[in-house]
Amino acid sequence: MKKNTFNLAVRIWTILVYLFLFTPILVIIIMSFNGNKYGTLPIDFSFQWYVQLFSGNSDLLKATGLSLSFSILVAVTAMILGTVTAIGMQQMPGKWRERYRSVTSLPVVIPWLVQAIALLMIFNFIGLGRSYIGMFLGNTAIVVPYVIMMVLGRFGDADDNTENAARTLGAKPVRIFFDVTLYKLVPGIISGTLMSFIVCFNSFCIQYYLAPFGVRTLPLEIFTLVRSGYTPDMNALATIMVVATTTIVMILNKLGYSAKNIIG
Amino acid sequence: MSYLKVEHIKKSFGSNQVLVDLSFSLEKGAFLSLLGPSGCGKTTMLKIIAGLEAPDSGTVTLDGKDITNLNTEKRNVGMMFQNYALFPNMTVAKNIAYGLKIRKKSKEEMDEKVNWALKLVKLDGRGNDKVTQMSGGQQQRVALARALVIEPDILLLDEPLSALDRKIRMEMQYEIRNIQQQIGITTVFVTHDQEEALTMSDDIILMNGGKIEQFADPWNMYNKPASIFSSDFIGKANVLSGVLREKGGSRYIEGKSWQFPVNEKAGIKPDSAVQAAMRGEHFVICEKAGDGTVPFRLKDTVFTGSVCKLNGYIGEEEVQLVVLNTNMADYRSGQILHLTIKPDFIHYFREEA
Repeated sequence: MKKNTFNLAVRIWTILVYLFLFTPILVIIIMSFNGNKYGTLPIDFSFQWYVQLFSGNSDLLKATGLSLSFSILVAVTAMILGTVTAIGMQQMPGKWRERYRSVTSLPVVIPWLVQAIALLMIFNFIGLGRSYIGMFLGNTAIVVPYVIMMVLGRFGDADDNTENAARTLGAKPVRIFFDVTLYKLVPGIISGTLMSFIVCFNSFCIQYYLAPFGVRTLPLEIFTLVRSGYTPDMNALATIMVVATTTIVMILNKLGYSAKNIIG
Repeated sequence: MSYLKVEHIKKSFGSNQVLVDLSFSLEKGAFLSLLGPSGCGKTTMLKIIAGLEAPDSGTVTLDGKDITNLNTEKRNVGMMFQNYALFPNMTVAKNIAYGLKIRKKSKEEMDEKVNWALKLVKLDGRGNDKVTQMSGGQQQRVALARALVIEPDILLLDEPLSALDRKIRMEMQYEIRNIQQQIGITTVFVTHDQEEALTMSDDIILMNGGKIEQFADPWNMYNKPASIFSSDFIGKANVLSGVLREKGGSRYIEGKSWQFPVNEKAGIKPDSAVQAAMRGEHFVICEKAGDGTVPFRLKDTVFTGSVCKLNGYIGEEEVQLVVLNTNMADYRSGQILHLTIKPDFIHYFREEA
């Protein structure tokens, strides 16, 4: 008897938590189809915001495009830097590796706001100021730790003799890296890169302080619109993003990449 | 003519001297086990032969060639590991063919050799299976096939059966030994399981603290232990302390309330303190007390399947006898049994300081 009540309570609680998490997103999706300009009820079903989003010289779309390409650039850079660093760290003696790990984790620990302001001060000091390069460097710096952490995690315990086995079979170090080590690391590289992309895409703080004046990535564009007055085509954009990411995850899942495979 | 020669190998990790001064040699086609407790240096020695560790000093010679400073990739060794070390992203066939691929063999030759290897380890037709979906025993067979297909000069096994459960383990012991003899490949096998070493080897090196404790074939290792450590590591031995005495030309060991006649042993004079090792199965239980019997107070019995162990005391020392299971009903706690043991079965050594 008691067990059933407990199970029921847990189930209700789970539903409440899911509602809490997803209600804001659901509201946005519903509102994106609401033709009513001020977002009031009753809902007047319409696609007009989607039309508006894609017609004419939409600042929102321009900003989205910039954010996408910028984030991809940052993610790829972080992927290369982070993977190479993690492989190097693996070769270090344990004590030094831990020290190095603490240092490379700093960008995750120090608040982004503090880092953004500090970077702006440095860039001003060296004459770089607000710039694309500055924004790129700042964003890369804050996401590289994620790649390092995820790749390092894939190295597993010291008992793994697969590299040794390859050596006894005659493989030289470079060969071993590509045949054996890389495969072990791929899930970590993918998840680290994805995480870098997502964090960079959403990274308001760094972009607010480091972006050149007039350059608007999506977070900055939304921020400006919120202050100056926005139209519901933003809801349409948000809905498209939610649908796109959900579809990608579903496709990957069908192809056999479950969270277990990627995260490892 | 020694095929493998190891001379004066020394190795330390920091302040820990793992190998003190190791030298031994092995004939071509022989199966040698390196046996010993954890930390005795056996795996390190194996890795030095493989090239995965470099010795501080000393040499390793294989088939007349000094390979001490040769990289692992250039030595032609086949190696098996405790956790199989298969490549998870490759199929069974690709795993086995890896060494051949490195050696740039033609596709036809690779296919032919892989098929031969699969048949050898009784995994015909499983070439396209994923290694991650196989059982431990099957994975170890793939590892064996992978090591042998490159026709190595020597086969090195690092506790390959320790991760398997008992029944599979015993099957694999038999299989590996069979295949090894079939192919005639020189083999060095590291294990901490003395029964495994006794079953599979032509020769055993018992190691302790980085030194060789004893080098013998299984029969001599068991029946003629060279030290107290040997006698207790291989099988189980009861160790009794006493003094070696001589009376009327024959020798015996005298304890507090017992004495056993023993053979003469060079290097140990009468009236020295000694430790005597006697195996539980060598005691003879006599019908009643007689000339030369020693009383044994039975405390309890332990049933282990085919044999039964009788725990008790000779004098104040704990002793364990081993009898066949069929006689178990005859023994009850508190009984006094009367034992004798042939002098040939008593191995005694000067008492260690």
